[in-house]
Amino acid sequence: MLDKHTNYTYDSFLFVKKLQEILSQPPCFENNTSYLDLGQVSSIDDTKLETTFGHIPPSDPLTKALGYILQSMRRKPFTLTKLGINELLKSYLYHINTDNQKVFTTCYLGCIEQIFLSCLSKNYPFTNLLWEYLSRCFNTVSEYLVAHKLEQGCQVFLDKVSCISKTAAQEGLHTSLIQYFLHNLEIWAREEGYIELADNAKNYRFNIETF
Amino acid sequence: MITDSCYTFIILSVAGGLLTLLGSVGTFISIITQRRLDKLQDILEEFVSLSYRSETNLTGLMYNLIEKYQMHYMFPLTPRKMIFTYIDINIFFILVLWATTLLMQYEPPFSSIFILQIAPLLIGTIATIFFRHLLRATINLENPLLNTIVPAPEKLRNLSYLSRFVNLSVKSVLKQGRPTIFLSNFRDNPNVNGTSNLFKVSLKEELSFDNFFYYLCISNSTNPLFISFGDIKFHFSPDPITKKPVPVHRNINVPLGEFPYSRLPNQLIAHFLVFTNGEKHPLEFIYHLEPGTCFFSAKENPQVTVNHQILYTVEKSKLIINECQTCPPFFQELSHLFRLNNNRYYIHNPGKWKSEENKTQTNLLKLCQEKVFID
Repeated sequence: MLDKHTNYTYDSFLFVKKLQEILSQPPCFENNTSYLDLGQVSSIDDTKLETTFGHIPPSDPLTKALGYILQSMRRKPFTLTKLGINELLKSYLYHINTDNQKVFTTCYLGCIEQIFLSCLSKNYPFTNLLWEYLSRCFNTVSEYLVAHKLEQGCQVFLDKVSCISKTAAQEGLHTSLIQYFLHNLEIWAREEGYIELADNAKNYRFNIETF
Repeated sequence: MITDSCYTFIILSVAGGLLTLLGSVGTFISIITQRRLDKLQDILEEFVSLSYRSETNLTGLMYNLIEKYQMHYMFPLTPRKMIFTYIDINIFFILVLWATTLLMQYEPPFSSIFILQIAPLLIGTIATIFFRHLLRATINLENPLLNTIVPAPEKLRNLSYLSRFVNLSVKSVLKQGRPTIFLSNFRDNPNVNGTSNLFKVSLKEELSFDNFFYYLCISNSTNPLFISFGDIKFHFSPDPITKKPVPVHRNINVPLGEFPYSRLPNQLIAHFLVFTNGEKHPLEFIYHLEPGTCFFSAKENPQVTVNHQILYTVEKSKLIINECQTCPPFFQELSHLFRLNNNRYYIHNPGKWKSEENKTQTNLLKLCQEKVFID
């Protein structure tokens, strides 16, 4: 554990190594397991409750990685957080394919959203840096998604990012990079023939700063 | 039956009553106007003081403030029509009553003294009509007297107007409008003229700030490839469907011209200078444009500085460069053409400009006639 080697907590090599170790395992998501989540199902009966009682959800590498990244945001250099986000998004692009694109995007972007929300806390000094870095990453990631014809994944990605950006705009963070990203995405999507995606990107571009 | 002598007094007192009512309408209007002025001035002040907080994203806030200003600036149409009708009818009756009393007391024959006697009535009529005019103007807010205190909502997007405020930073205001230079690929018909590829240059603004002169020079690592300069003014007519006035637009695109290219450059640098009426040094935006699939766009935020090397004044819709130590290429050579006439000119082959004679040089200068659009 990182905490045991307190002397090495600032070592980016160890940090990235640890993250890569965690993230190299394929992520598993709740809907593949028999674990009963009350928030996901609309109704349950006694038999279902009985059969699933005592089931434990499998350990999720994504949650673990997110934990490390969130920990790096507490009184630690911004470089570590940056590397963490980078590793997270790289693992996302590494694991995503045509079959799992929607679920994977939702889960990974959920992590990114949590990172973003925790950077909005008043005690976090690098909010602007982190937001700028995220905006840059969004641009690259979306280019990859469109180039690899992962349209549905990109749609979910766009929805999530716009949601995050809207919060950012309300918090007074600059959204010019997001505007560039949305405009670029619109052009890429149109070139690839994803008209719906392009129109959505345009719509979001017009709406990010309308409160 | 009322006696004649008494009847005159009755009519006069009715006229007096009507005049009092007219006066109280005036008071009523002035109270309303005063409240509106207060509100508008508060919003204006808030808008001006926003410019000090350039580190935060205020684009949405500025848009909302301009819309809010527009909302308070407009007086609802129905009550306005009602007040106008009331004033008009009231004044009409007063004039009729005055004329009637005069006619009742009139005894022929006609003499020159009559003209003297009628003079106070004429003066009264003129004064009343003038008063009516004043009330109408006050309720509309669009008159030279109030314009200086509360400008029209369109003025809030007008950089030249805003630059007159002493306590306003034009740089921060324009920065919130986020102007960027965008180059889109435009495939021309290769059979018509030799060139097969054209870049269309446009200025994108997220908040439509206007009324400024610009000078744009796009160059690769060695040579300038495209030069454009001109005056940017917008005119937005009210929305055709909702009929609401549009003081400011989002995501506006201003076409600035086009230039051909044979080989795709790796990186382009765009120098964008902005001259406003109330300043003496231009603002300089430097964009590093990077290629996308078939377009060039800025991936980074531009560097924004006030260029102290250039000193200018505006005289009779002409931009005069008084001092220019180091400036973008061709700036000095073209400076005699800088006019504030709402036209955008461009040169797509600046390399030729120097070699040509003065007479043929003007042929190289092209007028960009494409309309401003929203995208």
